[in-house]
Amino acid sequence: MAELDAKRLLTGTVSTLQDLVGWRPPSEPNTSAHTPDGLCLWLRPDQWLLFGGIAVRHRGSTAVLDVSSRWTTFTVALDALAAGCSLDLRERAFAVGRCAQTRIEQVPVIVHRRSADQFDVLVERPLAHYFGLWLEAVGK
Amino acid sequence: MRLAEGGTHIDRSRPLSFTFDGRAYQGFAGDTLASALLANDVRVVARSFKFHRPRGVFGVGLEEPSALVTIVRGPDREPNLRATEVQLSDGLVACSQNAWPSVRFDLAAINGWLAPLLPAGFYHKTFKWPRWSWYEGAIRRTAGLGRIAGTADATRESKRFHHCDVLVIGAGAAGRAAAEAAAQRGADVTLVDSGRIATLPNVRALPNTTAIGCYEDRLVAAIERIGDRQRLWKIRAAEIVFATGATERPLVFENNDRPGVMLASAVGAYLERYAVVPGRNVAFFTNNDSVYPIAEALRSRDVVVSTIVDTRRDDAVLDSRRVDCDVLAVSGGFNPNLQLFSQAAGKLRYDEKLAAFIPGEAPPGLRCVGAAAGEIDGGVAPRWRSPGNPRKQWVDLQYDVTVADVELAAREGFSSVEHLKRYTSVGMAPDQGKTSDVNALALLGEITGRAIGDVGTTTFRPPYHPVTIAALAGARTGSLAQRYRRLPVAWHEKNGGVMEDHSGWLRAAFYRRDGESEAQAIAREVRAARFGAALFDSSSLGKIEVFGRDAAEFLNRLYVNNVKTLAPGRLRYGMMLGENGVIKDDGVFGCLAPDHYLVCTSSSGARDVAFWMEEWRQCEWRELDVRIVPQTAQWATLTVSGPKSREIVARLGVDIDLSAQAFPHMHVRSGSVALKGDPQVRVRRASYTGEMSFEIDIAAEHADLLWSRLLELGAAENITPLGMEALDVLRVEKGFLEVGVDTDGETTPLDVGWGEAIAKKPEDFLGRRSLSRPAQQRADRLQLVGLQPEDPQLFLPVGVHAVDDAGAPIGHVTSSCVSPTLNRSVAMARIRGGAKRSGEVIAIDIDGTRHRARICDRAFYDPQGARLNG
Repeated sequence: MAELDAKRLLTGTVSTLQDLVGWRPPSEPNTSAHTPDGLCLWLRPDQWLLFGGIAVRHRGSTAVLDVSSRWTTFTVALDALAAGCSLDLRERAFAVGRCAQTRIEQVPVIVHRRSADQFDVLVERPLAHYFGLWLEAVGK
Repeated sequence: MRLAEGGTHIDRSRPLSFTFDGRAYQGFAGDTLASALLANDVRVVARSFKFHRPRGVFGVGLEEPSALVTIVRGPDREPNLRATEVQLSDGLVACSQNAWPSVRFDLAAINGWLAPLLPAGFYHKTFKWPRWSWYEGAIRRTAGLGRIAGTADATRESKRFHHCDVLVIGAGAAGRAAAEAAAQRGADVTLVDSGRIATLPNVRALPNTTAIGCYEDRLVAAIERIGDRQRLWKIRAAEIVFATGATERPLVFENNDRPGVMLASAVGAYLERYAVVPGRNVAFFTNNDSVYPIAEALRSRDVVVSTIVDTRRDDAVLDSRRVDCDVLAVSGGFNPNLQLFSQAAGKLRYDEKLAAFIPGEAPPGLRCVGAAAGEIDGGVAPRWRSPGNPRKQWVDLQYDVTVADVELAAREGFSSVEHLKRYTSVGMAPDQGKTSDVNALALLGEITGRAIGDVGTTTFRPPYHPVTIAALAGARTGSLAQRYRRLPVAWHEKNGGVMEDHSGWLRAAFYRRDGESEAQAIAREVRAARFGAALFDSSSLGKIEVFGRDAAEFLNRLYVNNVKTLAPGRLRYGMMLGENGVIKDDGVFGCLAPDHYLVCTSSSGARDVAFWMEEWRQCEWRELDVRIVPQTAQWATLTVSGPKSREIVARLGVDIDLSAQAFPHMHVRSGSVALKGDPQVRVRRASYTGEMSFEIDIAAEHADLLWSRLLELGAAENITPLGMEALDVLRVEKGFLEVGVDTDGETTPLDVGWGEAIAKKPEDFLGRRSLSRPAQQRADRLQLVGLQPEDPQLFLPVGVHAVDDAGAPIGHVTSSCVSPTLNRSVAMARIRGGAKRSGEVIAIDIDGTRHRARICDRAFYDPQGARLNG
């Protein structure tokens, strides 16, 4: 069960990471891609988030780090998300598979559109409690 | 009165009961409180702000300046609502405000008799001597509008973000046409209106929604009313169409604020929408054509229209003519509603024909249509004031500003419109001058001999319409008002931990036990760390991993310390400076591998230091092969500290040799621990308590388990959870500084005794050049020292000043405690030239009493650091 929640942060360049892990992470900003080791989200030009449990390692400045504990994942419906997320969530602007980093209320988050109405919202663990309370409040 | 038939907005099959000031009335579904009150012939509904003049309903919509009421819902009260915007509901309880004992007989109306003594600027001129605070209490009690309940609101308001191609503000004819046209060309259209909106195909309609602000890049804030609740909308649109209509201006004449004086357009709207006539005999007073169809409509419904005084025709007879009527409908022309357009940086220009400001140059993506664009018929002939007493001619009804006030302002030299506004408060009321705009400018122009276009308008600012703080707060009230970070261990809160905010984290200040005072608890925790074992959740410690061939070079430029000499497996305590040489953050850093380092920061510095490192990496030192990953949230840090810490950690079953020889102080080791799943741990022998310590990093999901395991394993040694207060005592006993507490925005490493250490480093580092400035080398700088009061039990409060013989301050106390270990008071202080004054006795001033204290070394306890090595 824990293995299902395994997450890795990848840092490096597309090509150095390909050398290290054997596949190319997505290079298009704010997109995700299915890789042999799991779903991979583009976070910034030199960082990716992998939903998967590959070995932690590094070679110079190219590294795979365990971040399974760092982020808590919430599944949030479109309506609730629009109560706090200022991004344009219309499908033509934020299609299924898109991801972005933003803030919801005062909480930094990673938003990933899983389906038309379902979003993964990743919150750093220390703020997950607050985010959970907020989600409960806007759901009412 | 209500006519027997008609009314586009009301449903006569659904009668509603409501009360106003305790009296029961009937209305219909679709009524506003204002239309229902007028239907019941209630003429006086409010008292004015300053003079407490009786006031009735004046307008029909958001522009209403007079009919402010309070709505009561059980224990909740919502004051200052315009009766014109309150939708009638069954059982509605409304009452008047700003009147005592009643709205019909208000004692404070004496202000009206005193009006000649209360001109604009009266408060500023009168109550400044000898000081404002003498009068403030009494004035504040009588000033202001309405009263809130004073209890917390039980419910939360909501918020919603929305994006569209075209946002149309206003659902009148022009707005609907614009929305339809945009929808037909395939755009994603949203239409907002403060009232109702009839359905349009392919248009998202937001009725009962008032746009209150328009911001850069076409962001509009709007408030939707859903029954008693409110929702804040933040709407981002590619294009905004302002179909905001126009607001009728009143005419300025003697007693133009009396109940029964109303905007002619409002009289027309009450007739059409609600079949309500505010009286039995209506007279009109106008300077344009707009009133004639209204008079015609009234006559066709058999309402008496006694006369129409048109200034364009009848000006000469105005002074002498007497007209009997119970409603005087006035029209002074129309102002396009351009407040929102102007907030969005749209330019306005004065149009002589309309005698009003109309849209000028528009920023890209903004346009006005309909009346807002100046499409207004009427043939207006401006007439800005009438003969008679200027003190009795109202310009701004909501804040009781009269012609006399404008004259006074001009006389006193306030010829700029911005000065006029601030001096007289014209246009500053909650209605933002919706009915006083242009009238006030025109009067100022007339008095100072300038054209209105040259006088100009004041800057329009949000909110266009009053908004409650609750609507802006949305969900962020109560437990959501303040965002705290939580530690990964849930144990603290359930086991007596008194949780407090420490740099944004909720952390245990101390752990309360039955029958123990706070001071006793802290002393118990301190003793455990000194003589047994303490367990501390230091998960908020900043943890940043640095990778790359050039990691050592990169860190060597950031730290004042020499990083390049640090061997793998070793730790060092270091400081980082800003470019100005001031201490930015401190903490331990370690070499995990030649191309992998760990930077530990203070809890409060974790975020900033990571951003700051990225800035240097990405913008300045791009040649370095290095990457930075902040991992504070991934790793929990549980610290076991005290002389018995090693034996407890050894029982955990970690595959690390914990012996003093294999794992000495200031070293770091990695391994795994015998818990479920054999999780990885990183153990640091670094200490903030002065005792032998093991800082154990473990993935946060395992933190709860490790914490309870350590409590079990240390039960024999009475391992004791340690709070922030005890930790502070421990570090003060050791003289360890805390950045931001014992240092401020001026403190350099030279001021805390690091001069010699820094001098040994051969390479440059950030801030080094600043340290060589003469000002940083001065002997009389504030330098961090230890301080022992001669009375060993005298606690020196943080912040008290050290003074010289003349009583002039020479420094201040930064950290302090009565040490349970040493059984005496010790402190740290920043003293002028303190580094060279060791042994000197100085005076400390506590509330005017001088106490003697000796300057000493900061390390009060175990100055050799022998206990760290254990």
